[in-house]
Amino acid sequence: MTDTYKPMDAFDSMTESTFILKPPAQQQAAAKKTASKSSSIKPISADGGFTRLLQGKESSESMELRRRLFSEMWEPLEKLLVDTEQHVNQMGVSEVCSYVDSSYTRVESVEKGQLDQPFTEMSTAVAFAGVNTGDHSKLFGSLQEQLVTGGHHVALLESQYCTSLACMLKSMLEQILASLEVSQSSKGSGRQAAAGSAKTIAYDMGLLKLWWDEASAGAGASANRVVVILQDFEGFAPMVVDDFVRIATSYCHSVPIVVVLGLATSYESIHQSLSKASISMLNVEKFNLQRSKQCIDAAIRRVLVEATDTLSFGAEAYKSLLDQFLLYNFSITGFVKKLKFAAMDFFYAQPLSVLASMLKRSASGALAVVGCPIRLSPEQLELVRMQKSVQRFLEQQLEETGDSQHFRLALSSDEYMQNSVLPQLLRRLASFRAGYCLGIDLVVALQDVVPESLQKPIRTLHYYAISQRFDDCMHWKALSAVMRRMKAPDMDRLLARINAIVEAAAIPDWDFATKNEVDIPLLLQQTGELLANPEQPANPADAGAAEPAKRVRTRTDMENRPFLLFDNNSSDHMLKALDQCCANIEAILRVSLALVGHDV
Amino acid sequence: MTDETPTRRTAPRARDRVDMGLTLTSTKKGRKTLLTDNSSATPSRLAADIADILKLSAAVDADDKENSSEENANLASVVGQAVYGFQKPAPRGRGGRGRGGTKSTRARHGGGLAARATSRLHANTAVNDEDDDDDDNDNDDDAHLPPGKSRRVLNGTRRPQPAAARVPATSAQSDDDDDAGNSGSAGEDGEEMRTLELDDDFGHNGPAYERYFQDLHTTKGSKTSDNTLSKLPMLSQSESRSILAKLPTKHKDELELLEQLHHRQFRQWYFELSCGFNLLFYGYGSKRRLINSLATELAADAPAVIINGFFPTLNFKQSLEKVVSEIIGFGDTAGTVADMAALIRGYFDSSNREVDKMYLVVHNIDGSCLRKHQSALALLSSCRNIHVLASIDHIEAPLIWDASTTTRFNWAWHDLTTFEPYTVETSYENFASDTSEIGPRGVLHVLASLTENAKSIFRILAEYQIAESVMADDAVPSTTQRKPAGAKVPEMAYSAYFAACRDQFLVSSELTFRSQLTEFRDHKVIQSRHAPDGTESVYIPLDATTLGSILESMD
Repeated sequence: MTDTYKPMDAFDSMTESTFILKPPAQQQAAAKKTASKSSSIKPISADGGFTRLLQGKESSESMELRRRLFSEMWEPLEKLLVDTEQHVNQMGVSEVCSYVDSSYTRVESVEKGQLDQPFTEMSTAVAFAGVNTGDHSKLFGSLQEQLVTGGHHVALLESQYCTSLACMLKSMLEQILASLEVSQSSKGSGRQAAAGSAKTIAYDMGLLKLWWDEASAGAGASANRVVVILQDFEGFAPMVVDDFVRIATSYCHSVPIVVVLGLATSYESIHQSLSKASISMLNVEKFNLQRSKQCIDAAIRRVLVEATDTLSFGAEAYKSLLDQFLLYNFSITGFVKKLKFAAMDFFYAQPLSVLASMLKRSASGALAVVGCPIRLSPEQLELVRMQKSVQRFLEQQLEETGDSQHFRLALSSDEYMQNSVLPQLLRRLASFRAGYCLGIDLVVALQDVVPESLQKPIRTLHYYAISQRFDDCMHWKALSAVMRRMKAPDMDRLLARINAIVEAAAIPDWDFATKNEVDIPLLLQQTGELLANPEQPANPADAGAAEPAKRVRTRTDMENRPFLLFDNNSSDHMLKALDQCCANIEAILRVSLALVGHDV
Repeated sequence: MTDETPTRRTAPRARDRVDMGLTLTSTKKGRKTLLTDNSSATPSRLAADIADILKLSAAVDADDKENSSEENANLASVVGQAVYGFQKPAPRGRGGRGRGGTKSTRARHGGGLAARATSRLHANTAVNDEDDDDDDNDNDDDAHLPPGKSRRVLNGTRRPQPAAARVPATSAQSDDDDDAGNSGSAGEDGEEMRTLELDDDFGHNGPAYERYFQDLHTTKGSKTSDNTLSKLPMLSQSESRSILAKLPTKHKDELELLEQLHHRQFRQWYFELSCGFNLLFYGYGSKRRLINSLATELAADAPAVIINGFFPTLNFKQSLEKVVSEIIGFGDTAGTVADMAALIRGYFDSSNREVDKMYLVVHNIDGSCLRKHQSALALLSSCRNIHVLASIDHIEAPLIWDASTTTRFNWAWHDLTTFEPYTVETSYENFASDTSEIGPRGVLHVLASLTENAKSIFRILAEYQIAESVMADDAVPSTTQRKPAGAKVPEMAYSAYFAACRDQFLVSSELTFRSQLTEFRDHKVIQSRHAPDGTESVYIPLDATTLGSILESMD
């Protein structure tokens, strides 16, 4: 019995494995289908894939606004992240470029007019790029770009394409000759013949020498180098690299070859891969290319702390984001990917994301509240009322003012909610973000004067700030304890720095931010005066209490644990002034970090 | 008789009992264990117990027949074993010298209903004997073992027992009992004798539980059925499909709801694709139909390439060539897979291109033919204007990607559980209708691994068969719309086939032709038949239509 196969559908074939669908035919088919069925079915690409939320009750304007807000928010943010990463890596890349520029110069000057040295070492830059191998392509691509810009001939090799010495040499020479072809074709001279001959002849180092002799003869004494970057050194077969080093070293006296070894694990891998003979042929210098932790700190500072109109994460979400970086592979790309996915989810699935349009940056850089460009639907306003932070805010207002009419209107009238309550809430949010940025800056300033063991990166400070209250956090307590032990000159320097930070902070609405409880500029001014003249209290009302009843030699920390002061040279007035300074600074920190943060 | 029993002992020594013919003994490790030494265990009582247990066993056996669950089977077997052992002729004196039961055997007597039932019989056995108190637990366990069973289990063979040994046992037991009831127990003794004789009949002709140990320990060989699934005739693919199509669809409403929920996510997935993510679908069931549906909708936006990664002879280079020639429009498709991937990526990275973007759908990206091309796929995926949608089914599929490859793919993972059968994905498996035939997909699979010469040899026979079939169709009246299944396919004489191949310089000698044919035969692509006159003819066991499609694919 023969078995005739009957395909299941158009994409099942006995003989074909690849099918191509082209738009025109599909559009016709879709047009027929829609004509026959219903005209209400939208193509999948309509509205960028966005759909109406709230069971389809969301207005099309609101949906369009979400889509627009996402692109307006993410594109600058992505650029900001890329710039931040490049900025952090720039130092390491520049160091490698400088090394390449300076390689072989000493040898050339010494060898001029002399016999060749019997033994030469090949300049080798060992670049530790970290375990985040996913980011290496971008990093070494940046290095290659910068070296090419400097006039060097660069070949970027990956282990997957260099399984043998022949493949490695072929890949290297193809890239170098191709770069030459491109550079010369840009000058107007055709290199098609050279490219054709390059494909036909065997790829070996002799070809490289011939090419270099020809290129350098025309250019005279060139400062260019042939740079070979082994992006993932650990992935190369040890024998291949070993042979390459031996062969390339023998050409070093005629072709200035610089090798850049990209490492992901440790410097020991060189000793594990290469033989002693090969290592002895290398003139190795170490570099640290990727500073992923510094990079992530800079990114978090700029995206989550300083940029007030971007996403805010709760403690758990932020910890998940951070764990992906710290516990997985320190990949900046992975971090950015997760951040982007969070932003996509927020603007795609959260109906209240349209409120982001009400926050706009003013000309001074401060965040300002503007009117919402669209009217919120009753469903959206109901969602606003259901937020716990809104409930807390309204109940707090009711307790403070006793205005039940306001409370009732906020709950019952959509108009009142949108026009009166919502701007108030957003203003509160904007003030918090501005104050929060100031608080983190103050903590960083305080960390600079404490021992290194107490210093935490900004990613951790941010987590502490959003996960714990000021009075509960052990780190704040530890910093406070150190601050309470400070001597007058240290406190003076700290106060000067804090003053500078507060003056630079763009907080337009101090009173609202601090709820009229603490006037930060005034408090700082009083603290400065007190420290400058500890004998006279800044506040005349405290004149009676200015004279200490007894010598102040014992203090307590934030947990009321006593500790002994060792500053025996200071007067009691000074010690009391220092004590007051500490209290003022703590009050400022408390206001900045925790005053409204947990209420929003 | 009772005076002969020493009063200082609550129970006589086993040797004494043997002499008196009172006790049923079994031995283990050279030590004896008394099995019946109970004043209450009178023959009448024993007979009543036997009758109870028989009723119980019969009930359990009936239950066993109805329910073949393992629990009931075990229960029945244990009960049957206890009764069976007791009903066997009692060992006579020291005749039962078999060692005690093994642990596994004893474990079967360890508890449960049977143990409780038999404990009524053995409640006051010789464990009361103070002299035997030093016996270890094994002996105590053996005390619960029926003597006949113990010996049979341990020795593996049944020893013929003297028939006379049974009579003193009963008479001695009556002597051992002091109460008056025992004095007039002759009728009960006779009843027990009848019962024991009846038991012998049960041992051979009784219900299944009676034969359990007999069947278990006889040396007649295993009673396990040899009827395994592998002996069933293999179905052809069409047969398999038709049978499976008759099966009612389970959870139809739930599956439809699941599909609707997946369909609702299409726009979200489009949004994710447009944001630079590539989609990786995982989950139970075939995802092919749903992804194809998505690809069809996406194709309205840009060209979509669908690659069946489960295709057994997938040539990824050819797939890329198809992309280059049909989408990009380049004529020159030379180069390796990496070159082609770089070419495609370079095109979609360039600013002056005609095709804005492309969707690449790869079913089973973890398929065997695609595993070595992951770097090329990753290279394509990392292009911003190439959107990749892929599915995986192997549970360890993510292990084929290292960190850098994973970064390049930039997957957004989605669960696409459908519970649909992998009909198309598994259609390339061996679905031969019998062992002598091979399906068209199998033929293609074999041909893909053969040389051009071998393919040409196949082609000659296939073309011959097609031509003969066409001629036969012309000769058949038009009323015959369809050939019956299993219709005879045209055959080609061996000599003619060899001559044709030699004429086209495909083979130079019959030896090489034979070796080539052997390879085809081994793969069941070509079969031969000997006519009554001794001539050999060869044929491909496929119809003309199928052969035509195969030849087209070879072109």
